[in-house]
Amino acid sequence: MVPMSHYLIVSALLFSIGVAGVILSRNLIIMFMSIELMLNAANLTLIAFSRFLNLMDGHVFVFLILAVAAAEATVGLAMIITIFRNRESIDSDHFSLMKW
Amino acid sequence: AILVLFLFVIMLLNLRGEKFGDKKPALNRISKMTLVTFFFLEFMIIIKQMTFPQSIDNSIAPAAADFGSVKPVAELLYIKYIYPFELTSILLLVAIIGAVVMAKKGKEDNGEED
Repeated sequence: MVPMSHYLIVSALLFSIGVAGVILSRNLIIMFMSIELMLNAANLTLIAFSRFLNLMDGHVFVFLILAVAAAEATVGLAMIITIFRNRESIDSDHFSLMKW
Repeated sequence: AILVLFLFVIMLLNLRGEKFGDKKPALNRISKMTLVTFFFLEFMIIIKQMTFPQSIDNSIAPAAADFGSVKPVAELLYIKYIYPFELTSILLLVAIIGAVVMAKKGKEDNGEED
């Protein structure tokens, strides 16, 4: 039986990789994929706790979170398309109008 | 499904390669690497300090025979969590409408919404 700490360490590592992707990347699509990775790392934590407390509620949470993540991905990608249509670039360094 | 969405968008945008050096990046590479390293270190420190009592791993009840299958999830989803379930369906509908409205090609004269 795999101890629970292993699941949590994997989830923490996935989350850190997601954060690294958001911070290090200038491409909007890569940043968006890293955000989805962070979301799925949290899902993994929920599943791990659900397994080790022997409750099915974690599975239902993950189900609903995945549905919300799909909706958010749709809207986010529509926004990226609109940004690209107006600015002809998806490099996040080009969108620094509000920076002093 | 989400991956397929991403692929569609990437193909739609028809990107050229990254144009290097046309603008100075706000955070240069060294500070970015430092930030990420500190984040990793913080996670590792927190995880090291977590002491999982051995009783968790030993005294959990063995999982029911149908633990991860469809039936218990469906029982919970439709009985106890029916309210979030319906709200999520409305949320998905709203997201679809919003995405279609945003990504639709308007008129070229900065489309007046009618």
